[in-house]
Amino acid sequence: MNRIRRWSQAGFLILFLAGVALAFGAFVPWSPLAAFIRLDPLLFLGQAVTRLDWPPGLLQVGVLVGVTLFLGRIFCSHVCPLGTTLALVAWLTRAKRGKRFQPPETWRRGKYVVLIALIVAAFWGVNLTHWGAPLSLATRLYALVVWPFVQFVSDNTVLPGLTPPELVRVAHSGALLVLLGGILGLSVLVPRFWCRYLCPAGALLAFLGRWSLVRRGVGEHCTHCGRCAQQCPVGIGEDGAVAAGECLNCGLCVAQCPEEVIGFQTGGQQRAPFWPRRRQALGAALAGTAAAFFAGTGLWAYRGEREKGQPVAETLVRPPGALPEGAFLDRCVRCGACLRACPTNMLHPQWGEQSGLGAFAPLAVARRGPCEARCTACGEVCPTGAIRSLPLTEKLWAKMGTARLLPSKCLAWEWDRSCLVCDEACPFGAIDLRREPGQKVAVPYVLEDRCTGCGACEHACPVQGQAAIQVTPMGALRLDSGSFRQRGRQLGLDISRTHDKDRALSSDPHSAPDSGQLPPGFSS
Amino acid sequence: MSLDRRTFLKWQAATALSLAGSCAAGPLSVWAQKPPDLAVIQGGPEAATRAAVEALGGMGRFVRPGQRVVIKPNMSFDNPPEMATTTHPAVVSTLVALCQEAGADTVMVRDHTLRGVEQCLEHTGIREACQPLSGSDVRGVNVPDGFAPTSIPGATHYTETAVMGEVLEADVLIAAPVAKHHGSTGVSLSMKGMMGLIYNRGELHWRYNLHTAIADLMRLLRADLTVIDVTRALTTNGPSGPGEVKQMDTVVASTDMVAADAQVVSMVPWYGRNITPDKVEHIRVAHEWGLGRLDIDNLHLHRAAV
Ligand code: SF4
Repeated sequence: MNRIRRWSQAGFLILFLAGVALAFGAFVPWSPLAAFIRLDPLLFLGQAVTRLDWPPGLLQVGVLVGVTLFLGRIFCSHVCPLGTTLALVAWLTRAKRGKRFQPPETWRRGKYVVLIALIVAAFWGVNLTHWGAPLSLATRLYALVVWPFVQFVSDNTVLPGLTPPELVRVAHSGALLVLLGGILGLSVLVPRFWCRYLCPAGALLAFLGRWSLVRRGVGEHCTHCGRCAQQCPVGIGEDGAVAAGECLNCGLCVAQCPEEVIGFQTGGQQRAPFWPRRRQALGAALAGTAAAFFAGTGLWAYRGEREKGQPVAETLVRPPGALPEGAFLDRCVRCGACLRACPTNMLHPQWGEQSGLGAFAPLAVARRGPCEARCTACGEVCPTGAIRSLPLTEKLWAKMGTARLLPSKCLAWEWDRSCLVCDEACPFGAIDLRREPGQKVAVPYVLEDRCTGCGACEHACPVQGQAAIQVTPMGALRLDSGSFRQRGRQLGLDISRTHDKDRALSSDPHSAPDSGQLPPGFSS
Repeated sequence: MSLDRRTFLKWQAATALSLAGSCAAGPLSVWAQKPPDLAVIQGGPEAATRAAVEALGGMGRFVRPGQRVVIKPNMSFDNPPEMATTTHPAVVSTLVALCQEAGADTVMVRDHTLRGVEQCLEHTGIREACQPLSGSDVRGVNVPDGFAPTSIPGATHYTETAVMGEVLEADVLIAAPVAKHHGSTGVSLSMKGMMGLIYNRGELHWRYNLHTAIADLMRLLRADLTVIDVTRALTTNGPSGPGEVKQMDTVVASTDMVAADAQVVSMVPWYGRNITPDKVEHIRVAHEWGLGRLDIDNLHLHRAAV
């Protein structure tokens, strides 16, 4: 039984890590990462309660519920990549001698408290389940902390060829470190501290698992030697029985029993579950309500136009195809899969830029990297459809924002320098060069209807510090259904990469052949 | 990295060149008749490229057996060849083949691409065209590691830059740009194209004067052979397009980068107009500094069709 568990844990962890590794470039379609994330029952519930619908992942979660009703919390002990990671941490740091700190059993109620708080927040329309959902946390851990770290180390040492051309940097990794480091650190103190006392998804499965068909049972010949309790990761009671919902069906105890009387069978006995007391439950509900309220406050956020009362960050540029902001925040489970997949490192986890609401959601930072015109990776890996998976023709029209020129910073406008790197970088012909009276060199203008907000210009602009041309959220197309192209055309947009003579000529009305002036770039 | 052998030799050659006019920069010519300064050949990309190099004395004049060659095409954009923003794949693969036939040890096709490396290699068609030539090596280099700080001898302002390491170590440099308009430098041909072999291009726009910096860069990165793909030219809205593409079925070759660029400027109708090479500031400056010649009318030009 132990061997099966270990193989299962190793297998699923490897599959998960492969999912993270493959969520890049041409491998994206083969990455099992999205399917893995959709397994998380808490993420499912969070979206379902916030939006009152069936989010993607019904099949996975359905299977998981079925399995749990049959075999108990087998997911926690055999599948969960975060659980396996925490078990590994505990094993690697196991104390040589002396006993570890043993928290009181009643702390086990903690996970129900967290669960209630998150569900209540979701009820108020603020989905915060990603703060505690194990698959979200595991993806964040491996994709945003471990992978960039490994890449950093290998890049400077042994395997320079293994890493992509530029080191991946992740914004706000300090916040990630505190959160994830805390969870890992607690596991050093008490093995699987998180799983026992805090994991809200574990609470959800525990709730179902108490009715599971197969349970741990102890035979008549038990001598109450207590050896099983020493090994048990979730704490077996004095009487040799385990509290309902707490047993992970891991089977560690089976091998410990000298009498060989422990078995997993239908209808094994269990002790009373660790339900939170009524006051704790009420406190949790209040905490959830408060969290929902405070998540939506913040000095740095202003009132959004589309969703009334919804705070919006000043530079809120989302990945192409992101749902309308309100729906996006409900759907986005902050796993960071899109951040991992983004080949230019354009996407970064946000932190307080949009009050607490947007914490860890992907923000497109053009100065760091442009949105590649030919890439659709973020939508493809997104497990929930928070970023829609779009074919290339649609994605080009999924306008992320509009570039705005700041002439006072621009080398051409202000410094009389031959620059126009923005024009060179723009894949859409959205920068127009014009001769203006009083200007020594041709100067750039943004043709807003051609701009898809990819940020190639902002990325390439050689101005030091903040660029002289910046993508703003203005004009972003955020559609939850239907064709971006159709809508864009309705709105008079003209986004295209194709070569077309009429377009090309019309892009430069001020230096038309007979205007008497030299075309841009030439000088007399 | 200090001056390596090749750079030093080139520097000497450059000095000699400005003294001795259009004397060949390579080894003493074994040809009874002096090869032309410029070859302008009409024809398909492959045939015209071969004929143009042949007219200058054949690839053997530039590449000796066992040498390491860097070819610098324009493959900076992830656009298809029809858009004329990147060098025609057949021009590049023909040059690779010619170098191999001349006995080159390594032929590296290199560019510091503006768009993503992978996308550029795939969509320009250059990698695919070179694939059948075993031993060819087409890569984009965008990481700082690939570049080494180098001083530019003789420059006044733009005195140092980081250059692609493989180029510094190569024996032969071949410029193979496409003919296209450029919004800030008029045209982007062989001289402007050398910005694809350095790391920090941004500072050329904000720290230095772009035009003189391009001319200064030529002191360091002077191609032994320049072959310009004028099979079609992007006559408007360069360098990234989309712009007007004019079919011209021509390849221009020279040992003088300035002359090759000047020739292309004078033969392409930019924005439908005839524009003389002196209207391109970096060409004008390079000529004034004696780095090459824009007075193409005084040069020996070989014209043919294949
Ligand atoms: S790249 Fe920046 S500085 Fe240069 S022209 Fe464009 S906006 Fe101005």
